[in-house]
Amino acid sequence: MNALLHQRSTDAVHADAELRDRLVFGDEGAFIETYERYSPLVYTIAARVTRDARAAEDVTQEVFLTIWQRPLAYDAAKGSLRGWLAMIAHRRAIDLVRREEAHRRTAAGAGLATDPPGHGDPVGDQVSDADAARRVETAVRALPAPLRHAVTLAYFHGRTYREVASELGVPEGTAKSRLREGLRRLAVALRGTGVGDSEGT
Amino acid sequence: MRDTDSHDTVAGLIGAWALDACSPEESELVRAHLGQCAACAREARVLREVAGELAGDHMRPPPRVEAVLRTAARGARRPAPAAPEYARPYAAQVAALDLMLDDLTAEEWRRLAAYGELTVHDLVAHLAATDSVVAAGLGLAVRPPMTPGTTLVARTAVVVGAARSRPVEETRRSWRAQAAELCGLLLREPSFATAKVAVGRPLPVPDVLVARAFETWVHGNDIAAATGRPAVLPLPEHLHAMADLAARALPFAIARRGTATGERCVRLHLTGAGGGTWTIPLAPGGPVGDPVAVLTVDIVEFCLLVGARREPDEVRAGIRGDDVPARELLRAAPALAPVP
Repeated sequence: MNALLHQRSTDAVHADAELRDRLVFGDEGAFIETYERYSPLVYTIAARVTRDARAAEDVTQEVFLTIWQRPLAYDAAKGSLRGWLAMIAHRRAIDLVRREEAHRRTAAGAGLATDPPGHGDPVGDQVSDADAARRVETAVRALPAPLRHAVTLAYFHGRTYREVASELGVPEGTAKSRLREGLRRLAVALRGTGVGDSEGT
Repeated sequence: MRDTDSHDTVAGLIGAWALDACSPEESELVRAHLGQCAACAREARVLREVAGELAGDHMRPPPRVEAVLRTAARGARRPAPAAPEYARPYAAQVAALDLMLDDLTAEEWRRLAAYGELTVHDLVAHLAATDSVVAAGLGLAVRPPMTPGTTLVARTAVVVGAARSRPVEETRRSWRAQAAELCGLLLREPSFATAKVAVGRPLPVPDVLVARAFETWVHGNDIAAATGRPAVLPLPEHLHAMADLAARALPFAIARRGTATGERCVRLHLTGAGGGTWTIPLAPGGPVGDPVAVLTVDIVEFCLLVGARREPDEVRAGIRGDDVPARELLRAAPALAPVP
């Protein structure tokens, strides 16, 4: 179930903290549990950002190896395990896309033939919780176009806010505030709460 | 840069940061600010969680990913050794300490961590020394070889002395390998669950393994404190096993102090995850009827007191009934800590 749709309860914080601790204590069962619970999230992020099935698999592996090797890097007091894994997945995927693009630019500059970017769009088995996914999609579509474009360019295409500004032909300050405002509105739409609300109390 | 400048800069960057759309320098600026500004930290958390949902979670990786990952994970970090139920608290503490030792610097290994004289390196050797007494008692070959009847103190002196002339990695490896061997033996021989092993005197094997978990945790805390690493509490069920062992041993500790006051008992109520209630006779084999006092303590505080990492007078305890025996119980608790 989509954690975002609910207030993060004390129970949820406990459950994340306990799973983290079991990873610290070298519990392989906890590792498999983490993978089973969050691999669709991690893989979907990686697949949609890299648009490459093999790259998405690599990112997925890296993310879960990270939590197994460095479980203490995650702190349940600072947010959900789901959100933390999503962040690591996105960062790895973005790094990969940016490296790939830098490489292509270098190759193009040197007059070399460039490979097509990937191994084709990942398909992946569709999993059941399509309702939550649809709800997110609906909320994104409902954003005013300038906010939606900015958020989409940044999150799915790995653009920095400076690149967003130049692609949309707006000042950098405008790009930054569109990204922030876009996410704030999505928070309200998905959580039914504003950014200022406290959580987990 | 004044704080307000930093706050305004960061507040403007939070959306971009949550989408990983800042430069590395800006991300670092945001990260540093979030540690100091509750308002920004709250917003950052919400926006991060929202960003994490943008892609959805409707695709599943092919099954081969899990198979490859299981193998890769074992290579990247050893899981806790497989062990019978009673030895799992020990296996867990071994895995957690191993994880902490993994990224210590050479300088951190040399820091003093306990009793004003033992370094991190010495403490790991000390743990290996006591483990080796248990291992030898169960029939495993240990290194250096041990003559039967060697005391814990003498064994620690030998093992720590030998470790000091070796690289830290070797000490860590042999401690970890011995722990795995010990767990493996216990798993292969179910009869040990009801057997005794001589550690100074003969004690039930399961109790000895819980005591090993306890000491590994306490020294892990010492090492965490000495090196600025986060201390992690044992899992609730493991804390419960440690507290239970201490509760059962308390009458003997009280008797050794020579202050036992005969036919009375105290109810010990330990609060927090893993807690429970025990009735402690004030002399070994004493009655466990109506208690003369009820003592309420947080289970972690109680365990740290038993590990001699708290003073009896600084532990926050609720006492109902007769104050004297309840205090006596608290004062006797640190005597349960194994002497190095």
